[in-house]
Amino acid sequence: MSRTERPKTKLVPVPATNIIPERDVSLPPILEARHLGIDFGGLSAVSDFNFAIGRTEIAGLIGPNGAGKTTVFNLLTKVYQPTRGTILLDGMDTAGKTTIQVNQMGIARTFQNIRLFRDLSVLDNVLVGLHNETKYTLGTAMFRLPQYWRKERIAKERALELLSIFDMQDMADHKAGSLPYGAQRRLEIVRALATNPCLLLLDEPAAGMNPSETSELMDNIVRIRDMFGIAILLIEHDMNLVMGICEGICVLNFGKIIAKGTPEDIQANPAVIEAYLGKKKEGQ
Amino acid sequence: MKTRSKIRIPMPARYVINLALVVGFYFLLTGLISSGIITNYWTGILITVGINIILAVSLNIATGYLGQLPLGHAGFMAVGAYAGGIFMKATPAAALLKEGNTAALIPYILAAIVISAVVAGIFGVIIGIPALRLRGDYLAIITLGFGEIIRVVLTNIDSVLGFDFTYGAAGLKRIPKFASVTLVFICVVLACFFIHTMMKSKHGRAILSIRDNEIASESVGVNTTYYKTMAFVFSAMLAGIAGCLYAGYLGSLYPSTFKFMKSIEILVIVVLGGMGSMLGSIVSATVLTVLPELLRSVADYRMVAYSLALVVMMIFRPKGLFGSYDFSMSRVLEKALNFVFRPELRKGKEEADNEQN
Repeated sequence: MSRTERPKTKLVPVPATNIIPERDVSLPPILEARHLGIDFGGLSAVSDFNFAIGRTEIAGLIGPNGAGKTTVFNLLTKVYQPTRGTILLDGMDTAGKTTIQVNQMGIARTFQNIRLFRDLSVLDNVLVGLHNETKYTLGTAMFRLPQYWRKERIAKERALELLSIFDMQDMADHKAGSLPYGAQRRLEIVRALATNPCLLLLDEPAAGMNPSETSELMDNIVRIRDMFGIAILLIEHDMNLVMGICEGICVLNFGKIIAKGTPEDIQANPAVIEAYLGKKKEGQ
Repeated sequence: MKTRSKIRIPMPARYVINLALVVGFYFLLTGLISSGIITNYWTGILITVGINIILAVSLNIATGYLGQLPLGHAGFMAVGAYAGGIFMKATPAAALLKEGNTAALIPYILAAIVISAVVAGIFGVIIGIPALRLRGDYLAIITLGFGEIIRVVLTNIDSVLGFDFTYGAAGLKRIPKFASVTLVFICVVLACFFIHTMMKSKHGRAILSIRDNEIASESVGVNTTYYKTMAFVFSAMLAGIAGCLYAGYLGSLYPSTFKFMKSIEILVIVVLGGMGSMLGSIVSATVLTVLPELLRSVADYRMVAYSLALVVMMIFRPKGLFGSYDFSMSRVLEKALNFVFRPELRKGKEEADNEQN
């Protein structure tokens, strides 16, 4: 299914009686990675990565430092072209696609080290996210034809609406670079959402946040999933967050999946405990 | 207390205000010229100022907005100048100019400007596509090389072609001098207008986003290659137009005019004015064109003062005179109106400032 056929996610105020969309098992997963792998020279950074995410699932990707989590994100978004394996987005093969095309197909992401357009205003950051949704030609813009005003007004309204998810509409005129750290992370999520994705990749969304900010973020991630009906894959080191909201978890170590399952399964998995804490010595 | 909302000038009114200002300024300028307060000598300098403004604002697209550092701007100017010059020589424009038949001249002038813009644009595409794969110093070096190639080709192409085309180092002479103050003024205004309207649109935002973070702008689906090339080509086209006006002002062209130093001169104007600020480019182009003329009496020390100004500038205002600040007449008017008619908002602002601190 191409992007145009996908129903547009309409942002509407969340009703008080909001129901979490049920997971539709009859539909194929939104993202499926089969035997995904990449080598950097002789080093196999990720190998035999098999993973699937349901349509409205919140999934977590965890693992010790250097396990290859961000590399997986870079493979999914085609920052790196995989050496082996297939990535299916909504049943479509993304082989040979560029980062831009993959984004247009419906994958949006945030970055571990925040990558905002620091010198642009908060509103403009979101408007750049709406770039492909705002359709008018260069000539229309240069001669300020009526279509320009109409499309710009719609884009601006939509941007403010998206900012209102995080109560950031009052900051619209601030420079993105001048925002406090937490707000910058939130703005990155809003910008990613502006591209109308069906899968959102969050790379350490809670990094550098205090516990109260983190719990607010958890609520917001769940809320975003419910409002937009999208799948979310997140990398996170904060286990409270991962165990609290993820429905499926995948543990990566040295580029290989060592465990997959529900939070309960993962917490009880000896391989995971070993990866994080090390092996018990003999006789102890 | 009833709080009244802030005064905002509606959109069409903003354009009307700006248009009125531009027209007013034009009549002031032509009035001063026809009354003889601005002498012929200074009229010539005014035209040079206009040409330099176009060069500066066009280079500003590539450096200030796109964040790249091309050093071949004089090359595009040369291409435009020769394209326009050769075209005008081939037309009966010279005879018309002698007759004083300006109305019949207009289509030729328009055609010359379009041709120089298109030819410079084509060169922009040819150079931009390979050059924009690189960035930083590498892009600077490759564009510098291309700029020099253009100059060397202009010098030597006649012996390759076997007939007179650019007249080599001897110079392309007797180009009809069609560049009047009015023409240059219109070109400056239109160049600034179109840059403004492009930058305040989704296309402009895409270009700015590439400057700020290319990886991030790719991740939100902005076609970075396309927009980099677009900005570069637009910049080259405007430089071509400036070149065309230059040809029409001087009446003769020499390849040696478009040396590497010319590109540096334009870059200095942009850097001094503040990269990413159109107002900065305009002010600094004006100052850096007029100042050397005023300092002619101490010509020996001119370059010293010039270099010193740059050094001082880089120490105290490394982001240029205006940084990335851009002037908006309507914003100033709005502030003034609010200050006069909404005194209660003044107090509110102070409180808000205190809260922030």
